Amino acid sequence: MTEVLLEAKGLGKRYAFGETFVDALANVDFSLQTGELVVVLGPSGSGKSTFLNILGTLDRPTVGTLNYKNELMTEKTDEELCAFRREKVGLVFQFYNLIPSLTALENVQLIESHGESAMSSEDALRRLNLWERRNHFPSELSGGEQQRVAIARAIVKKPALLLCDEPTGALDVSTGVVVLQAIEEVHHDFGVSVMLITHNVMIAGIADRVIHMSGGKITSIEKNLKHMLARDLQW
Amino acid sequence: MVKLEQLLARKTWREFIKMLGPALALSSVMAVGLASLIMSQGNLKSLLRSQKLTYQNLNFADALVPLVRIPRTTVHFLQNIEGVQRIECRLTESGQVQLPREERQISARFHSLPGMGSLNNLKLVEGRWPKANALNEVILSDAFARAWNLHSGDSIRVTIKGQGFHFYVSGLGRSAEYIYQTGSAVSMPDDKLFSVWWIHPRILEKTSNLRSSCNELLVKGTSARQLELAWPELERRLKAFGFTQYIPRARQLSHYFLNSELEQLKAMSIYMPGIFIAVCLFLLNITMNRVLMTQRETIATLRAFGFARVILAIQSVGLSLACLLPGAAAGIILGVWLSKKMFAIYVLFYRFAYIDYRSDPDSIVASVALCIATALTGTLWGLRNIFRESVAQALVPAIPQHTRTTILDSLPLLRRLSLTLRMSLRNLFRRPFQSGVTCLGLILATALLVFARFEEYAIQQMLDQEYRISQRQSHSLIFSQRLPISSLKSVESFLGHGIAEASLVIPVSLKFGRAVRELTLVVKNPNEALRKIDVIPVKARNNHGLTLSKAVADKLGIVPPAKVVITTRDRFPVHVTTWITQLSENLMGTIVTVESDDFLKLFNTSASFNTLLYKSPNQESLNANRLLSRIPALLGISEKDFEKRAFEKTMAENVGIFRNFMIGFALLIAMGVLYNNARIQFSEREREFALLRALGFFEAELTILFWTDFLLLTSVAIFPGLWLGKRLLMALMAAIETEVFRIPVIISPQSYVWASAMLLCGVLLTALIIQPRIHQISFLGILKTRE
Repeated sequence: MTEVLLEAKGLGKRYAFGETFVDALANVDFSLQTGELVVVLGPSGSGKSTFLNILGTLDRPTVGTLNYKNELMTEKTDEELCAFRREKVGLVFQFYNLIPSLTALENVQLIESHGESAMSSEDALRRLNLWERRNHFPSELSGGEQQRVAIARAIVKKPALLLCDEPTGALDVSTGVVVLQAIEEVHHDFGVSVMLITHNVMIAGIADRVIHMSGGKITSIEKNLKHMLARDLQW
Repeated sequence: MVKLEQLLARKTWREFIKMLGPALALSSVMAVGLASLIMSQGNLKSLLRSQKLTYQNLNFADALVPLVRIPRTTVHFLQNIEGVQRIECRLTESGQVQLPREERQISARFHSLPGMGSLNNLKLVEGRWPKANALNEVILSDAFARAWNLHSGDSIRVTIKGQGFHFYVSGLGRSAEYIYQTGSAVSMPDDKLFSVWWIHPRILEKTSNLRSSCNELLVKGTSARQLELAWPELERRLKAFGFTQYIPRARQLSHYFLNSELEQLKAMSIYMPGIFIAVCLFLLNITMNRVLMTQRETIATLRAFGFARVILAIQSVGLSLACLLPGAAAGIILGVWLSKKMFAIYVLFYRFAYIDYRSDPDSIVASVALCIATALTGTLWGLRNIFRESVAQALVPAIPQHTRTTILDSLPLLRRLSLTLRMSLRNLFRRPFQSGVTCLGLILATALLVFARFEEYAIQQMLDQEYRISQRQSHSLIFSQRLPISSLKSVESFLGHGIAEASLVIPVSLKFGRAVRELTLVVKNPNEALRKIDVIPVKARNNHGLTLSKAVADKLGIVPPAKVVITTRDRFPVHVTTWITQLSENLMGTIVTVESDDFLKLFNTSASFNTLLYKSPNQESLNANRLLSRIPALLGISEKDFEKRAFEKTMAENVGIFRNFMIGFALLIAMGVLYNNARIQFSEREREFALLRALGFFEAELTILFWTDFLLLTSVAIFPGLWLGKRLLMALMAAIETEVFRIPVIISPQSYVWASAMLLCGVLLTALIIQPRIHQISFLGILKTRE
């Protein structure tokens, strides 16, 4: 039986530039179920990154509320949100954002102790076929390998929520597919809720639900009836 | 339409506003560097000018010749000797001053009043000149008058050659001869215990029985060289009048001490600000370079739009100047103000009759130009690096130097360290240049802290050495003549129950090769307990020679055993050829010592004494006036504690002021180094911190991580910094060492602890300033950009 993991109501984010305002996000209602994989699609400037940042508590909404398992996140302090991210959220970025001065293994170890039921860093790296590359620094790894280390880092604490911001944006097709396979596996094996934002329509094939955004608003939410495996994707 | 220049100026201004923090730190460092130079140079040059002016306006004689008696009429015939421009005679006598309720001995030197325009003239600073026939009207030295709050119109009792007088002070005066007012008994001036009087010649003629004669000649040469050549003839003609020696200006006490001080100050004015400004220049250059690198992408964008390099260079230079000019202005104002303050303190101590304070425009212009040129070199160097890249390359953020496996990673120890410590270590090794520069900045800051505080401890050490270890007596009794050792018992009977040790102290000249030095020969008794000479043993040809102070030996190039000629400087000089067999480590004074048995053999004389070292029980004071009246041969009594206090006072007024400025400057520079480095370090790692914050690291963890880097660098820098501080001091002390005064380079553990503690306090203070930046770290923008 699934339950609501994240629930956003009337979310809005307004940026002020002198006397003018820009609404990056306006009146967004959304809920994410446990174990669900959602892909958010939209062109540049549609507000999808702002949306993801607010769900990941990297940013605060100007209006609206965000609940995590009925816990009101928008009322929490910065340090409480930090603790929430530390325990519950895994993050994967477009440009990997690995710590350059730590090896692949050390990058994962850095996060290992954060989760409640963490797997070992070795397990995380083996799962992503990176054990042989564990002692390499990020600059000694390919883009795909770096992104897989980033995924290993995100899943090592078995987060409840995995947020991926354009994880294949900087990669070629074949490497992108490998990375998506890794995300898919983690989602299946651990039942992690995944929210993945992309402007690549083809990636929506792996989603349970697809959200379309434009102009800071959700224009549609649809169930994916033609579910595909990552390895079958092409673009 | 807005002009292009206006737009660019607006851009520069906004960038400057964003950089206010580092600009302020840079400006402070520059201000301090400039101020130290302007202060030292302004003070030194004003002192030199005041000295010259006083000497010129008061016709300061080139030499002084003490004689037994010379008729005034004879003096006229000496004028025709070639090389002598002017020769005048005067009367000089010693005596005592009696002030009500004052038990200590106050010595006095009396000179006949100089005539209008004569040599060694006076400048009246208060009151009027004595009336022509008023024998009891006198001019008193203003140093003594101010020490006792005496004024023109006061009446004072004095004794000259046993005869008492009541003098009426008609005015207070200053003389080129007593800019540094000291008697011969103690090296440190004590304005309360030594006075100079200019009185009617008839009084001195009467007391010294020198009717129509005088006992001292003042000589001015046509030139120094010519006067040197004239001395044999002068000596020949003056033999009959009791000539024993002439005292050139260089050997006159006031000039000698003033010159030593000015020489020291000259070295200090070059070395100390030199070191400060070198550190500032280094920081300015490096920091301006790194500041400019933050403008890299903006400059590339403007280049992409077709702006000429020269326009962009002008913009960058403008930004550098905006950061530096407030510092230059503050440095000039602070430097001029401080030099005025310093000069005011110096002239309290060195009483110039004429004062010429001016700030030194040359050093202001030179130092400002130097600072700005250095900063601009840093800017232009950075620009050169940016311009070397293609526009396309410069448009994207600089690619950070990537970490690769190095020898560091193969160390098993590294794997045992925490991940944060590993990160910090790799970060430092990943950017060796930046880490090196930061480390060097911290080393220099530590060195400056050791350097600035050192004198305080060194002087304490010197006082301890001189007044506690070397001199253990409480009083020194000085006699007007040598007394046979048999009379010691009767003298002791006046003193009480303390320990008394007789000693002989003789002024001598030491000749080594062509070099001559005037020294004090101290004849030591074998069982002396009150005086300790710290002897450096050397392999000697025989053990019966003299022990010379190392500072003098070094200056003269004497390495024991060395043959020297010693000549006593009294009415009947005795020449002895002997050996310097050992050196002594005394820090103050120019002394040569000899064991009493050796002295008796060398000089073929009988045992005598002219000094009595006395240690009173329970540190009781001796009643000087009572003893002087009961022991006729007693010339004076000096009290060690009093001398020590005078010395401490001198140091507090003189070196102490300079030191306090330097401590303040060193602290400011250290803070500037720390703050700028912390900011740069933070900018360089901001992306990493943003990521860690996004990944759920708490603010406190980031703070620890950031300061791990910085503390690692600080701990690496501390020991080399302390070492460098000591080296700089050794260089400085070698430069300012004189024969009479040596500051030992002994740095106490407290000095090191203080310097390290100050650096760590600076680190903590900087942490507090930087902390809000860690708190406000923005991870949104950073995470969306390519590394």
